[in-house]
Amino acid sequence: MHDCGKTKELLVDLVFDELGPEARRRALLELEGCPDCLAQYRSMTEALRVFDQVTETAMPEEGYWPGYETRLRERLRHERPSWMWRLADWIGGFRPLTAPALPVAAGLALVLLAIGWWTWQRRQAVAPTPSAPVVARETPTPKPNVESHDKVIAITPKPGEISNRRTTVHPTVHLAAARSNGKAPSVRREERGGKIIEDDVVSRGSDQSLIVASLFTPETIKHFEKAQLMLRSFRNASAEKSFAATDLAYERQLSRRLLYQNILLRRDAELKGNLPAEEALSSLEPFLLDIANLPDKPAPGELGGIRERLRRKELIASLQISSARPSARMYQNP
Amino acid sequence: MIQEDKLIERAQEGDQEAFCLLARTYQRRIYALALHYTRDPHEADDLSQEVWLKAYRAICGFRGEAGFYTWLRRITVNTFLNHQREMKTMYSGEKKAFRLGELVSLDELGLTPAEPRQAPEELLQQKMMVEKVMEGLSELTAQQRLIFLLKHREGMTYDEIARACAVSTGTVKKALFRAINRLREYLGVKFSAAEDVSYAARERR
Repeated sequence: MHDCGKTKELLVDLVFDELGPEARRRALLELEGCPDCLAQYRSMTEALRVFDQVTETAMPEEGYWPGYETRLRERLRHERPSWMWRLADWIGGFRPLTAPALPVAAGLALVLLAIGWWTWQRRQAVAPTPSAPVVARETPTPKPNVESHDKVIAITPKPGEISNRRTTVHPTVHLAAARSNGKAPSVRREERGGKIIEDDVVSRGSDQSLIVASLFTPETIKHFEKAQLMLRSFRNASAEKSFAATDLAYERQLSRRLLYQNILLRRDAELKGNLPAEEALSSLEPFLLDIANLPDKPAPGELGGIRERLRRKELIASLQISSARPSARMYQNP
Repeated sequence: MIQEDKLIERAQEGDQEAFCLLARTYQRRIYALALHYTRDPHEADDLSQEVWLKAYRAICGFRGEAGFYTWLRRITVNTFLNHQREMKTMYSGEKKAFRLGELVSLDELGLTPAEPRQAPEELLQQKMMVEKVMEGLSELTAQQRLIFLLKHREGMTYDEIARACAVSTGTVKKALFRAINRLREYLGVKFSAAEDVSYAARERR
């Protein structure tokens, strides 16, 4: 006896070929006896056929893929190698996952040794100098000894002497870190009290990321990252002398999309009273607007103008810093 | 396949060029999935590139126990599910608040047909069909869309989909039924019972 309800339950299995040959034959026999069920089955298979046809035409044309690959390469360039690659480089190029047990054990021993040495070094740096207890004994009522402190700090380095390296935490997001050649310099030099001090900006980057994470929401950080990549791509594409008008089509489209998101995020920041986020988003908005509104064949002067403003405002470098994400390691070692 | 193994090996050693060559093999497939999942070419571009970045970060952990594409598809599904969660947090209650479908034309979105020599009426009809398909897909939840794509485009079994999306096989079947009915509705595919007299007999043969 044919039961339409039960047969319809089988339709999905039948359409998506989830039945074995015998079950399929029986199901089709069942359908033959019921015009309604058969009509439904046919319309389902037809809908899938049309879907397949239509989705073929929705795919972008061939010219889209070189740009896609370029963007992927660009994004990969910003990727840091995984910890395993760094480890492999460090131990001399062997791969921990595929290597036999003995080298793995040796590698682990090396890592443990390194961690031990590093911890010992840190303890040494924190421990009081041997002279400190002597000073304490000699001066039972200690006063701040500015003079002796200055003696240590204000030594003028001898010619050729290696200058001190230190890591500092700055309370504000330091955009100046990226002000040379549009790249974040690894070291910043300062002269204080006759002593040259080098700030290790790379190690400070972790603090910066935490500050950035506290200022901006993850969505805003992601937005900055996308905007930064788009502006970089725009700058590079528009700087090429032989660029074709279509070269900027992607940037224009993406800019339009980022613009809408920028407006949403800015309004959100306004509502929440997040002034740093609001300011950063406001400074980005005119550029997105200008790029989104570029004509099909923009004049070189028009592009040059935007590029020049980008350079003057150092927006790409600022966005790069603003989109720095704190790594899990940083959360573990505050 | 040997070539692919070599590329994977080189990519695991940190060779970005090898990884890009690997990506070239599958980028259209991943992009197509992302396009139908997000229904927005820009988002599809972003999402599919995110899949590649995640794959690049994780490639050291690929041991070749399953095929490379199977491994990549797992990353794809996870990325899509994360994207779904992010969108929920960002726009809870709203349905695609910043979707540009209403604001820009299909040309601008890059939905150009594969054959440029087609007649304008044909092109128009194709665009309308694409719009209908996308509208039909937008009536589904993100999870239902993903289930449908994994079944219909990727050919995964009910069990595989259920495991990947952490749902029951019953949910998978329901999602498929709903998806196919939505598409039927939006594409206007209907058959009268009279047309189907000998159809099942033909199928059976």
